[in-house]
Amino acid sequence: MTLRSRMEGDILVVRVEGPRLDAASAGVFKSAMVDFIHSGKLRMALDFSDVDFMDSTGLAALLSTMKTLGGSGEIVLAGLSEKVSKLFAITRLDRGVFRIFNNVEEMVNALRG
Amino acid sequence: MRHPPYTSKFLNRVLAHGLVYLALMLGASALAYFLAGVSPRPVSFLVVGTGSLGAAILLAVVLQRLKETERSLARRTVALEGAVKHLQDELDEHDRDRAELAVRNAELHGVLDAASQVSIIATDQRGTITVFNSGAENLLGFTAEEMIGKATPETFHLAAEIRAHEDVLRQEHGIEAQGFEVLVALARTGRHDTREWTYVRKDGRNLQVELSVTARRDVDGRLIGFLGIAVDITDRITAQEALLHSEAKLEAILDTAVDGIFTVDVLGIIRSANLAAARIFGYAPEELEGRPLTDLMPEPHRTLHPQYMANYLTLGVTRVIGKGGREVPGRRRDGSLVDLELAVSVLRSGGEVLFTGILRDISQRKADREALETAHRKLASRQAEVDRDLSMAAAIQQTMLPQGDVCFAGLDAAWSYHPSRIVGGDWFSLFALDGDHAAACLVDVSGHGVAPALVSTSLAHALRPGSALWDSAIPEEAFAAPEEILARLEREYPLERFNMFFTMICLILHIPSGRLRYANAGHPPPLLLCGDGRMEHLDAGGPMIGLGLPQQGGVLTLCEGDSLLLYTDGCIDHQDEDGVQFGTEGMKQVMTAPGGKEAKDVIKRLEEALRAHGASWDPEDDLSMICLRYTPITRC
Repeated sequence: MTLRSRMEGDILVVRVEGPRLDAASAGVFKSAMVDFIHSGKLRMALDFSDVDFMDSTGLAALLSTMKTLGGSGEIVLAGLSEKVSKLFAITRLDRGVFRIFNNVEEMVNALRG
Repeated sequence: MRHPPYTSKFLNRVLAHGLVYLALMLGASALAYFLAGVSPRPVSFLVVGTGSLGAAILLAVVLQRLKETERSLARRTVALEGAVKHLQDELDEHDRDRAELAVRNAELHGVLDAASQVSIIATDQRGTITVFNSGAENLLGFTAEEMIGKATPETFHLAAEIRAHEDVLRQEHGIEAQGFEVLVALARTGRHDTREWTYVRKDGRNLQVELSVTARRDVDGRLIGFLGIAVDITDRITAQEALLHSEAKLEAILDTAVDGIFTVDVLGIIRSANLAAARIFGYAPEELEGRPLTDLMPEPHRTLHPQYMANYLTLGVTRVIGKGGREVPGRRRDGSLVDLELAVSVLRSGGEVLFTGILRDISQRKADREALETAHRKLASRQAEVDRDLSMAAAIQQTMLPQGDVCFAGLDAAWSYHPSRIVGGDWFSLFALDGDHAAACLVDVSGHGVAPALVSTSLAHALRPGSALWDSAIPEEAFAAPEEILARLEREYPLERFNMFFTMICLILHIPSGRLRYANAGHPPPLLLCGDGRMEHLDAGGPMIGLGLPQQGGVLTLCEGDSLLLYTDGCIDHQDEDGVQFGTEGMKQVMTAPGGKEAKDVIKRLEEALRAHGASWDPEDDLSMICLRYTPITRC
């Protein structure tokens, strides 16, 4: 799994490239995300279009990133697969924990607004 | 006949002269007869008689002479004809010889010129060049025209070399010579003289030649000059130098090679060995050459090796030759053993069979390998220890689960627990809080393996029966509300603590009334199959524990025969080969499927269905399910 990032204004758009965010890739994901935060990227739009599956370890990495950010910024998500959406629904993370959008454009616009 | 008939002409002339004489004689007789007429008769008769007689004699003589002359002429003519014929023959022969000579000469010139890479130069006695063939022109760059009759070979010899050779002649042969004479001094004495010289070409370049000088003598053995035949040996010398260079290089390579390299003849005698080979066995390289190969072997090879050789040479049987690297023991000079890797190949060189061996000291490698094997054995034994520990941990974890089917007064329960590894982060419990209350908890700690298992163990301790965690803060309730339990755990287990979160369902059932209070932190919603066949979700809930977010509880009342299914997300995430998940729908279908209604029947059906869904029963997540059937009138 790799993270491809680009800036759109002051928003960091990160495309998560790889079919699974699980125990094998969670470490890489988390350290890369924490590096972004430490370099001052506080508004991040994560594009999960390539990710088919996420397990509890992957979710823990994402939640840990969110906790690192604290209240000083926001992580929004888009492109969630059916399985990933279900995980967010079951764990109720889609209810006010993360804002989830259909595509990158909506996500970036929401962060700008 | 090409020549006029000399003989007949001459004879005719002689006959003509005879006739003149005869006429003169007749004339004289007639005159005498006339005179006799006019003179006294005796005188006339005498004169006439005498005259006639004389004329007759004269005539006879003349005729005789004429005949002799004719015979002599005939003889001489024959001789002359013979001589002329002989001369003619000789002339013909001479013509033939000359033609032949011309052919030979042309041939010789052809040969001389055809030898375009061989310089052939002839000189007269004093050294002036008389023949300079095309080979000489090619080699030296001078034309024959420039050289013949105008120069001596000194023109294209190195003066210094000639002077140096003066000394050689003086010291080795006692001959004093200078200049051109140095080149021919030995040939002049009839000796064969071939040696290397340097020719200097017209363009100044030097050329290494091998020059043979011989004396030219006429048929009587008189010296008429010298012949020098030279071939360009620059290439040969270059090739020789290259060969020497490559031999030196090969030697250098052999001597810097890390591997020992040696050759052995069919008698088992070492013919050559490089430095590394000598070093491996503790000898100097020259000490190895000529030594029997068996000196480098320990027993039993030392004794058996001649037999190995014989087997190969007579039967072609070999265990080493052409078999790549084989591990063999070697014997050093001091008798100590060395582990070697040996590769042997056969070399047929100039009709001789030699064996080439390449060997490497693998003592270190072998020691390394043994160390590695030891380390591996140690590691394997440690791994076995870890596995044993894990098995024990799993067994201990199992003891923290309810033992056997639990049957409370009013509650029929069954469960299934399948950690994805030996130990896992799933844990559940089911117990009586008091005579009227039963509690059930299902926990799924994020991640897999030992760390989540330990966190779940820690949670099991926190949630043990009688723990203060269950105590109610308000007098109206005997026990704390499930969402309050979750909130208390939230404070104890923030995400940062173990870098893990957990999902959890907690429920408390008041058995006499069927009042069920529950809270769900991030778990799939429990399924409720009502006794009348309706299927409901227990939807109240919040996110997983660890984020510090508020939780939400729900309350409902169970009816006789209602079945409640709690399960971890591993059950619904469980995939088949095509990645299709078992899903909540799968759970519902199995629950409503015909069959036994008791909790253990439902669990059994679910296990079978899950096993059938994924061909290999190796779920990626821990799978746990608890089925609770509310039967208030049942007594266990």
